[in-house]
Parts: sequence; C-alpha cells; structure tokens
Amino acid sequence: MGVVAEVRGVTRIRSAWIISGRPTAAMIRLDLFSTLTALAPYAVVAGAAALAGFVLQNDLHRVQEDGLLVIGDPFAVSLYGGVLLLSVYLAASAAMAVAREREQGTVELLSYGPVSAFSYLLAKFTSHVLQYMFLVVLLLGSYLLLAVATGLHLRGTTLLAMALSIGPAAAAAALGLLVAALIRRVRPTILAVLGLALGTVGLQVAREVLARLPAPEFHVNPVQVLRWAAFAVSSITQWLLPFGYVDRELSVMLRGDLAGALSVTVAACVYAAVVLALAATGLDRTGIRQ
Amino acid sequence: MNRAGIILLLLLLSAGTARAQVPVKERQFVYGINAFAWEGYVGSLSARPPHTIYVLAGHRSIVSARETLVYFWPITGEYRADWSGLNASVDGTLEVLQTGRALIVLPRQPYVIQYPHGPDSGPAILYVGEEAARRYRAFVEARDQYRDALARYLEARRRYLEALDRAAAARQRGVTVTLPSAPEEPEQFRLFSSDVHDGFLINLPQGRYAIRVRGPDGRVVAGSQRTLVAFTHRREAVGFTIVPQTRWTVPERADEPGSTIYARQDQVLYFQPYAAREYNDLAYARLVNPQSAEGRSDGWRWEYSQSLVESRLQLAGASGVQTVTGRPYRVEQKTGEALGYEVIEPPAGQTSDFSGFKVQVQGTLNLALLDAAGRPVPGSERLVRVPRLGTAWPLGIIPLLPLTLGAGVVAWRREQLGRTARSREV
Repeated sequence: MGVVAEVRGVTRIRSAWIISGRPTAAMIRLDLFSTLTALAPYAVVAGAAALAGFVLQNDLHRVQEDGLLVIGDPFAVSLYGGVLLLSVYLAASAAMAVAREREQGTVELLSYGPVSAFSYLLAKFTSHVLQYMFLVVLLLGSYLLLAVATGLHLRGTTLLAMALSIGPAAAAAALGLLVAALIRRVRPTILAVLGLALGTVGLQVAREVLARLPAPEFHVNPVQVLRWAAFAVSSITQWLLPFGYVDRELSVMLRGDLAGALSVTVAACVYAAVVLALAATGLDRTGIRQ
Repeated sequence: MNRAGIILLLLLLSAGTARAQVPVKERQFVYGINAFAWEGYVGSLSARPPHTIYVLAGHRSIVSARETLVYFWPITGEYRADWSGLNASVDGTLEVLQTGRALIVLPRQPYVIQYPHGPDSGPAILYVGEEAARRYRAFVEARDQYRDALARYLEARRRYLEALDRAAAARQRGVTVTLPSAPEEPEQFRLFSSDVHDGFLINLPQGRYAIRVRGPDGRVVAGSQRTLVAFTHRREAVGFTIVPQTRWTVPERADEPGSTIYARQDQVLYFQPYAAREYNDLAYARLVNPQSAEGRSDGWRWEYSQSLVESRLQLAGASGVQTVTGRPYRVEQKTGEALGYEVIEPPAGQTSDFSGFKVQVQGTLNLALLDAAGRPVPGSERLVRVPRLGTAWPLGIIPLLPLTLGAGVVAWRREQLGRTARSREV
C-alpha cells in the first residue's frame, strides 16, 4: 500500500514538472540567454565600476595631497551606488521584459500552453535574480581589480554585503514585475519603475540633508516640519519599496552586523515573495492580452 | 544741505534706538543642570518651553531647582537666564518617576565642582554633602596661601631687582659685589572650584524618566515637570587622534575599530590613543546643550574618556614586530622663507605641545595598543596601508573591461544568429 502511494506521489511530481516545471525552466533559460547576450547589463556594471574608479581616485588624491586618509571602507560609497544601480536596472529590465512580451502578444501565446501567470512571472523573476548574481560577480571582479590597482583595502564585509544584496535585488525585480503586471504599456511601465526608484533615492537624500540642518526642538519651523514629513514618508517607503532595503542591508553589513544584515535580506526575500504573488494576481486580473 | 544732513543723522539715530531693544525677561522656574560629560561637567539651562534633559547613565549629575529671569536671545536662538537679576533657590524634593510611578525622591544637597588641573584641562570632580563644604574650605585656604606666597614672591622679586640695579651700578664704579640669588616663584595654583550651591544629585541607570519638584506644602511646583533621559554608550574601543608631521594642525581621528589608515610611504604620524565610547549623536549633543539644534537621532559619535598615551603601541609589519612608547613632542614654526612647522622632541626644560607615539609608515602595518600585561587592548587594532599613488589610467581602463566582455558576447551572439540563418538558407 505504502509503495503504491509512494509511486503515485513520484508520478504526480514528475507530471507536474513535465506540465509546468519544464516550460518554466525553458523560459528561464531563454530569458537568461537573451538578457545576458545584450549589451545593457554589461554597460550597467561598467557604470558601477566607473563610479567606484572615480570615488577611489578621489580617495587616492586625498592621500597624495594630505598624506593621510582614515576611512572605514573605501568601497562603501561605490558599493551602495553600484548595488542601487544594478537593482534599478534589474527592476526596469524585468518590467520591460513583461510589458514588451505583453505588447507583442507573447504572453497570450504562452497562456494557450501549460503556463500560468504565476509560473510565467516566476520564470521572469528567477532569470533576473540569476542575471543579478552574474552581474554581481562581474562587479566584484571589477572591484578586485580596482583594489589591486589602487592598493585600497577591499574588506570581507564588502564581499558579504555584495552577496547579501541578492535579497534587495530580488525585491526590486519583483517590484518591476508587479508594475508591469498592473500597467500594460512599455513606456509607462519603465517610467513608473524609474519614478519609484528616483523618488525613493530623492527622499533618502532629502532626509539626509534635512537631518543635517539645525532645528531647535522647541520651535516649530519649516525645517522641522519638512524633516518630520521626510522621516514619516521615508519610514513607510523604506519598507514598501525595495530600494530602501538596499540602503538598510548595506549600512548594517558595512558596520559589521552580520545578523542584522541577514535579517534585512530575509525581509527583502519575504517582500519579493509577497510582491510576486501580488503580481501574479495582478496579471490575472488585468488580463494577458495587450 | 546742512538741514538734509541733520535729518539723515536723526533718522539714523532713531533707527539705532529702535534696534537696541532690551529682551523681554520672564520670571520662571528653571533647572540649572551640571551634567557629567567626558570633557568635564557641562552647565546648561532647562527653561520653558520644556524640553528633554539628557544625562549619562551611571554617572553623577546635578540638577538645581531655581527661579530666575529667562529671556530669548535671538542671535543664538536660545533661552538664557539672567542669573544676576534673580537666582532664587526653590525649596522641595525632586521626584523621579518611571512609567508614571514614583521611583525615588531626592533631597537637596550642597555640591561643589572642582578642577584639580584648572578649569579647561583634566577631569572635573563633583563633591556632594559635607564633603563639598570641606573641599571648598580647603580650596579657599589653598588659594589664600597661594595669594600670600605670590605677594611675598613679588615683594622679594622687587627687592631682588633693586639689588641687581645696585650691583650693576657698583660694578660700573669698579666695586666687586656678589650678585643676590633670585627668589623662587611659588608653584602655579591650578585648582579651580565652583562656589557651594545646592541641587539634586542624579545617578540613574539607562532609561526614560519624568522628574518634578514637590514643594514643602506637598504640591508639585508649577512648571517643574520634565522628561529626563539617562543614556549610555553602544560600543567601547580605543580611538586614535593621528597627527601627520607635515600637517599637525589638522589631525584625523580613527575611532571606528574597523577603519583603515592610508598614508604615504615614509610619512611620519603621531598616534594619540584614547579610551573611547560611542554615544547617540542627538543624546550627547543635548547633554552638552539641552537647547542644541544639532545632533541626529539615527547618528552615532565617539567621545574620548581618557588618554592612553601611557601605554605602549605594538607595530607589526614586514620588518617584524616592534613596540613604541609614547613621548612628548613640541611643535616649532620654521624660521626663514620656508613656512611650516617642525615636530621635535622638546629640549630639557621646555614644555611639550602634545604626547603620542611616533610611527614612520613603511608599507602595511598592523598596530595595536598593549595593556600593562603586554596584551593587545580590545578595539585598538588598526591597519595602516600605503596605497598606490602612481598613474590613474588603470582606474579608467578597469570599468571598460565589463563593457568589452559585453561587446564580445553580443558579437558572438550575432555571429551565431547569422550562422543559423545561413544554414537555414542552405
């Protein structure tokens, strides 16, 4: 009796894999191949590496001029900029892939086969996360070369922070898919993703600037009101949008708090799962046709 | 023309009169605060509108209940007290509450704050109760003794100078005289003391409290409610102030234990170690000045608690491990056309400007402060590196490598697609 049940279970899993898993795996392979054989991801990594080169050159200039520079991690600013750039690219790329295939009718075509909205988005999500892993390795290679060329120290925490940035990047890809599932056209989708990314970063910058402006505790003045508003809005967006996870994960990791960084990565993965499920529901609701 | 000039002068004078307004002073209940900080006891004021008072947890601070004249000073944007106009002590006890329940009731006590090495240097000591009165009396006696000794010295010096003049005159006449010996100057009097005041001694564990003064009639004194935060440090480490020989006026701080120090090859650096504690930026800024608009609630800052220059510094590099001891150094301005400074070891009898460990950077160095037993002090390890300061072109080339890889992949894909299309045509 037990043997029969076991065989039935194995058969079910195999048939489920043949019906849904194989097409999903094929879509992941195809998507990964098409994205990695385009120039755009390499250009983004080159941009991130150029940013690191600029920052490090500035540090070297300070050592040359002043004879002394004390710094926690010379790659911290570059890493933040690089991971943010890659995350925004990943969100935009994922959103564009879905919106374009929807416009071209590919999604409709796929739906006639054994491909559900969730498995389609899961394939897109997985291929983009794998793409991010490849790009992070490329960026790490560039950082290692820069560290060798400059003699500036690439710390172990920087490498760990890069590895753990997969969580926030996955959250960014999921958000891109959600936006594409809710908005049909390519251009508005891209604009929405870029708007969300720039809005989050802009809010973060405004918060930092306002926090540095002096404002007495007991006087109600415009700086205090703006600061309060920026803190209130950013405290919501840092959980609602994935780009806040990038900031949190990196700042915690670069301080050497591995447990804190792991918890942020787990939170980002949970965010990605929830948003992916919402995206699948959204795609079902808005329909597969253009 | 003359009339116009007079009118203009009158207008200018009247404008001046209008600007020179006396600030409006209001009689208020205030707390005078003498909060313990690592740089000494910091005196500040907590007036209306009320704001949070910050003190260091586990350290003794004083709050005094007073009535004074408070005015707003627009230039600094702060409320100030006119103590000379009114400085009345408010009777009663201080109630410290936590989560709405009375925790402790503190009585008023006399206190005095003394600086054994002068008001701007060294640690400050707080004496409370009978000890305060005793210490203050001792201070007054020592000060009077110094004053008398100084008066005797000045008189002796006057006589000595007169004797010198007489001796010089006698020598000019050809008379041989023995020169008088110079009087000895009394040792400088450095001890500084505040007057004896009364206040409430606060020494609370970390937490958020409410305080208020209950008068002798059993009622809470109006306007005496405040929030008080006792905060503590997040981390402890050894912080370094690093003085480059070529730029001694602009020292750098290496407080973060994970920070790396980059310097030029052969650069001479002077390390000054301090025991350091990391505090919340906003809390410490408000500790120093409760009305401060500076400080970030999400920021952290390192504060030095004491110098550790008496310890030894261990340097481990390619040439082996060596131990350096701290020495005093003197900064001398270079003479001649070449402007700049020179750091030297002070000749005997001359004072020093700072003390520290001299380190000449020769490649990568691992440094750590050693305790009395010769073990590295936790949090004192630092890495000193010499970066490559040559040409900058590799920094421009490296970002092009991923782009080159991408171009290669795209070219390969196109070739593959072209080959597939050709094979289909065939």
